[in-house]
Amino acid sequence: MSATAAATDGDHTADHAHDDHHAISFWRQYIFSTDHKIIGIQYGFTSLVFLAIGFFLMMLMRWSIAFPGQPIPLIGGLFGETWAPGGAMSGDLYNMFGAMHGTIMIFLGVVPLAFGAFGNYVTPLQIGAPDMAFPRMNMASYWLYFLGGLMMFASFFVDSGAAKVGWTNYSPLATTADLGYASIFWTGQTLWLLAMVFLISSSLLGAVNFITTIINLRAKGLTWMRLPFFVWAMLVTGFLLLLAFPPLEVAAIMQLMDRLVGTSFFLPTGLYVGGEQVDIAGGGNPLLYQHLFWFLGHPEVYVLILPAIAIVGEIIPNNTRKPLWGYKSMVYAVMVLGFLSFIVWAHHMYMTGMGAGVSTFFQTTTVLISVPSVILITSLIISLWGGSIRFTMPMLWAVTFLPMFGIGGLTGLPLAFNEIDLYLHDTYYVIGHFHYVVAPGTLFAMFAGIYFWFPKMTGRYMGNVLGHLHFWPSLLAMNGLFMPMMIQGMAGFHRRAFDGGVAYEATTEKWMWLNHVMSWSAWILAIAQIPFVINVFRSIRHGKKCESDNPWKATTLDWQTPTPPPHGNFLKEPVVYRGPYEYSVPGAIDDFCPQNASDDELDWEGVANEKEGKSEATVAVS
Amino acid sequence: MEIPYTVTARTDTGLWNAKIGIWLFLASEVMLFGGLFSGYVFLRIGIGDIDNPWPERQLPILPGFINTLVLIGSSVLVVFAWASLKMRNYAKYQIYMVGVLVCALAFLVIKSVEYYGKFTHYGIKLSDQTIFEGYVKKDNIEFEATDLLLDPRQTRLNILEGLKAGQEPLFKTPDGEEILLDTAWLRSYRVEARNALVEAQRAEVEAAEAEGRVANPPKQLERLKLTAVKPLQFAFNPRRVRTYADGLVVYQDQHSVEGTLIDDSIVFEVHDINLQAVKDQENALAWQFVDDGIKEQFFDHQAKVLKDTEARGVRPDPYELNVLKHVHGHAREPVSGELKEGGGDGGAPGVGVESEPSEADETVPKPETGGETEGVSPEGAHGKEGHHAEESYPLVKIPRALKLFLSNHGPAYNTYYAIYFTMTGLHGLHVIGGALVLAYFLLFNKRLYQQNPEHLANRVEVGGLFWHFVDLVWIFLFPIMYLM
Repeated sequence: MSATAAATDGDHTADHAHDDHHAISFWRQYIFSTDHKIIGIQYGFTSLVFLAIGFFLMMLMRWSIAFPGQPIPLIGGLFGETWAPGGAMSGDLYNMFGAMHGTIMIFLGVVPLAFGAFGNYVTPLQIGAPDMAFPRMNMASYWLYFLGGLMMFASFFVDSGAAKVGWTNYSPLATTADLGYASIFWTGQTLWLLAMVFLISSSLLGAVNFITTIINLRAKGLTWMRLPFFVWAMLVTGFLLLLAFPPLEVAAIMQLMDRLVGTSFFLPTGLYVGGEQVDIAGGGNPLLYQHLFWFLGHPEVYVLILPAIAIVGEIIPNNTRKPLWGYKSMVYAVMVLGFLSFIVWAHHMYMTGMGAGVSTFFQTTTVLISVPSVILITSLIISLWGGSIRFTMPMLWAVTFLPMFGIGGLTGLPLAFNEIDLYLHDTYYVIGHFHYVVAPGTLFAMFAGIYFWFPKMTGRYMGNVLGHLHFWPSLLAMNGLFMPMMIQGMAGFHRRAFDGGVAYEATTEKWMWLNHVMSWSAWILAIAQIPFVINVFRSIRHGKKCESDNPWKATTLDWQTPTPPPHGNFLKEPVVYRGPYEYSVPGAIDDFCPQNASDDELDWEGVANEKEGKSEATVAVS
Repeated sequence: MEIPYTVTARTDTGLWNAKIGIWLFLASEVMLFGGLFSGYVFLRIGIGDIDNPWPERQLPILPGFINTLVLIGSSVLVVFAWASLKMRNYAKYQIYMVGVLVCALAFLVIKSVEYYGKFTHYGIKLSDQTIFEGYVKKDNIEFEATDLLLDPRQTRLNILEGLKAGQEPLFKTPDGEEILLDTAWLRSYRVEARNALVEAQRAEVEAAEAEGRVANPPKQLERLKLTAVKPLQFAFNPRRVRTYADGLVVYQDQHSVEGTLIDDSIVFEVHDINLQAVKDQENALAWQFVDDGIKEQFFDHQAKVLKDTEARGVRPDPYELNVLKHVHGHAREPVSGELKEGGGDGGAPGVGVESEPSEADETVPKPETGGETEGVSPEGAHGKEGHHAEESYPLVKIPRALKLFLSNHGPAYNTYYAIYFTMTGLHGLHVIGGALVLAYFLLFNKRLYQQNPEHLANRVEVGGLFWHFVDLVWIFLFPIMYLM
C-alpha cells in the first residue's frame, strides 16, 4: 500500500508510518498515481491529445467546405470507399466528424484540460493542502475519463462509424440513427451515449472531490476572502459540474433505453423514419431531450470559460504587479454567474416553438447573465490600468484573452434575443460566436496557464522564441478562422452544410471566397501549434532553469513550495497571513508579499517600530 | 504532510471530508432523480392525446406498500447500527447491519416478483385502439421458402436462425452446384464476387476507352439467388423481419427468402379488454374476436360502473369504466394450429390441431376443434402460473395487419412503463450499490474498528446517509407510480 493510500485510510497508527519511506513502483507513481499533480499532468496530456484529434477532424471538414467534392490530399484514401468515395469527403463522414469534433473538443478536450488538469494541479497547491481530499477517487475520475475517451474514439472504427447527429445528439434523429445495423449496441450512436455515461461519472467524482477539498483542506488562516480567485472559480465550476451533469445522464439513460429497449421517451406517436412507421408505443416528447440536454449544455459553457477567466485572473496581477482590481466583486460575480447559468438553458431552444412566455423568461435571464460576465471581464481589464506590465509569455496570452473573449461574449448578446435568434439560429454566426468564446478565449487562457505553471512543474521556463512563434501566428489564424464566420452567418450560411454552401450558390455566392480564407487559417493554425509541441518537450530538459522556486515572484501558495512540489506538496504546513494578490504593498521592500509570509518575515521600509502600523494597513487590504 | 480531517472534523466547518463528499454526492443524486421526476411530469402532462391515455393504478399496491415499509425499516435499522458503533457496541452493530441487509434483499426480491409479472404479461393494440391484455401464445411469421436471395455485401447470415428445427439449409446455386449455406460459404462467395466485380469494372472502363464512350461500370455486388433443394419451413421472429409480403420476407440482415406465406397471425390469450381509446365501442374490433357473451359482459360491466358512480355522485374513472378484467368466454372462432410456449418455432409441421391451451379443460367444456389430439393433455406443455381452474380465457387469432403494437408490459409498452422501469430500475441499482457498500463495512472492516472505531462509525454514517436518500427516493416513487 502506498503512502497516499495509507493516508486516505486515515488511521495513522505506528504500523503505517514506515510506508511513507517506501519506494513507490513506477506504475503507482506515474500511471495509477493518486497524487493530484501527476493526475493533473495526466489529464493535461490526455486532453491535449484529444484536442489535437478534434482539431484534426476540423481541418478535414474545412477541406470539404473549401473544396467540396475534391479528394482530400494525402490521406483521402484512408477513409474507404463507403465514407469517402474517391477520397472526397461524403456528407455522412462530414456529419460524423462534425459531431465528434464538438464532442471531443468539449467533453474530452477543453473541460478536462481546464478543470481536470489545471484544477487538479493548482487547486490543492493554492489552498495549501497536501493533496485532494479523496486521492483514490481522483485517480478513478481520471481513469473513467480515459475509458470514456477511449470508447468515444473507438466508435470511429465500428461498422456504423461514430455518432453523426451533432454534439447535441438530438432525438428522434439520434434515437433512430444507425438502427439498420445487425447489433444496435455496436453503433457509434450507442457508444457515444455509453461513453458519455463514463465521462459524466468521471466529472461527478471530480466535482465532489474539488468542492470537498476547497471547503475542508484550506490551510490555516486561508479564509474565504483570502482564497485566490482561481480557487473560487474552481469551486463554482465544481458546483456546475456536480449539479448540471446529472440531467444529461438522465437524458443519456433515456436515449439508451429508447435505442436498446424500445421505449419511446423522446419518440412521438406516429413517428415515420425513412417512409416506414416505427414500431414503438409512442407518446414521448422530443422536447424533453432538449430540455435535459441544455440544462447541462448551458452551465457547461461556464465550465469551459470560468477556469479560463480564473487562470487569466492569476496571471494578470502577477504581471502587472498590482492587486486584482475588484477581487470581491469578482467573487460575487462568479457566484451569481454560477447560479444564473442554471436558468438560461432554453435560449438554445427558441426555434422549438416552446411558447412566447417561456422564451421571454429565458431571454430575460440570458440578458441578466451578461451582467456578472461583464463584471469579471471589466475587473480584469481595469486590473491592467496603471500597471507596469511585464509582457512575459503567459501575460501575452492572458492579455489577448481579454479582447478575444470580449468578441465572443459581445457577439452572444444578439443571440440572446428571441427575434434575432430566429434569423441567426443554426448559421455560421453561432459557430463564430461560441468559437470565439472557447477557442481564442478559453484555449488562449489554457496556453497562458501552461506557460505560467510550466516552471512550477519542471523547474524550467518554456522558450520565448518558440513561444512567440506559437503566439503570433495563432492569434492571426484564430481571427482569420472565426471572424469570417460572423460575416457568413449574417449572410445566412447554414452551419451544417458539408459543401460550404455550394448547394445554395445563388444566395451564398458573394461570401463563398471566405471559405478559403477560413480553411487556410485553420491549416496555418495547425502549423502554428508545432512550435508549442516542440517547446513543451524541449523545455522539460533543456529550458532555461528557474532562478528560484518562485520565478514569477508570485504571492499565492502554489509558488511557495519546492519545485517541482514533492509528494505532500509543502515542507511544513503553510499558514496564511494575507490576501491573495498583495503586490506592491506600500512600505514593503519586495513588490510582492507571499500569502504565507507574516509581517515579521517580510522586509519593510523604515524602522522596526513602524511595523505594527503597517501590518494594520495590510490587514485592511486583505 | 498527511491529508487532514479524514476522521475528525475541521473546527470551522464542523465536518470531516467524507461527510462533505457524501452530501455533495447526494446533491448530485437529487439532480439525477430530479431530472427523472421532471421527465415523469413532462411525459404525463404532455401525453394529452386520447390514443395514449396515461395509465393509472396499473401496479398492485400491496407489494409496493410492503416495500415502502421494508425500506423505512431498514433506514431505521441503519441508524441503530450507527448508534451502536458510536456506543462502541460492535456485536449490536453487526445484528442491526444484518437486519439492514435482509431488508435490502427483501426489497429486491419483492421488486423482482413485480418485474417478472410485468415482463410476462402482454398487451396488443389493434388498429382501432382496442387493447387486449393477456398472454401471447404464438407470434411468428411462418413461411415456406423456395428461394433465398443472398446479399453478398453482408457478413452475417442471421436469416437462418428462423429455420425450423430438423432442416438443413441445402441450396442450389445458379450454376447448379448443391451447397450447405453457412457464413464460411458466404465469405468465400463474397471474395469471389468482389474479384469478379473489380474485373468487370476494369473491363468496362477499358472497353469504354477503346470505344470512346463514357464508362458505366457496374457499381455494386448483385444479389445471388439460391434455390432450395426442397422447400424450407421458416418461423421468423417478426421483430427481426425488415419487411414481408405474401411471397417475400426481407430479414434484418438484408437477406431475403421467396416462397409462400403460411401464417402470420398472432394467437393471444385475452384476459382483459381495454376500450378506453376506442371511439365506437359498440362496433369495436374486439367483438370480431370474442363471442357475444363477452361483449355483453363488457357493457354490463360499464352499466354497473356507471350506476355505482352515479349513486355515489362521482365521475366514473375512465380506466375502470372502459376496461373489462378477467373476461371469461370463448373466442368467436376457435384457434387451431400447433401452439407452444414462447412463440412456437420448434415442432414438426403437420402436427394435429390442438385445443386452446387454457388449463381449464376439466371444468369448462372445450371449444370445438379438430379434436385429433384428443387425449393428449396440454397441461404439461402449457402450464401457466396463477390461473384459477374455473377461469377460461378466450384464445383469439389476430391477423398481423390489424396489430398496431404488441409488447409485454415492459418498458416499451408505453411511456408510463418506460419511466416506471427506468426509475425503479435505477433505484434498484442504488439499493444494490448501497447494500454492497454496507455489506463491505460489515464483513471487512473489523480491523478498522479495532484500530479506530470512530472511523468505522463515520463510514457507516456516510453509508447510512446514502441509504436514507435511497429510501427517500422510494417514498416519492411509491405514490407517483402506484397510487396516482
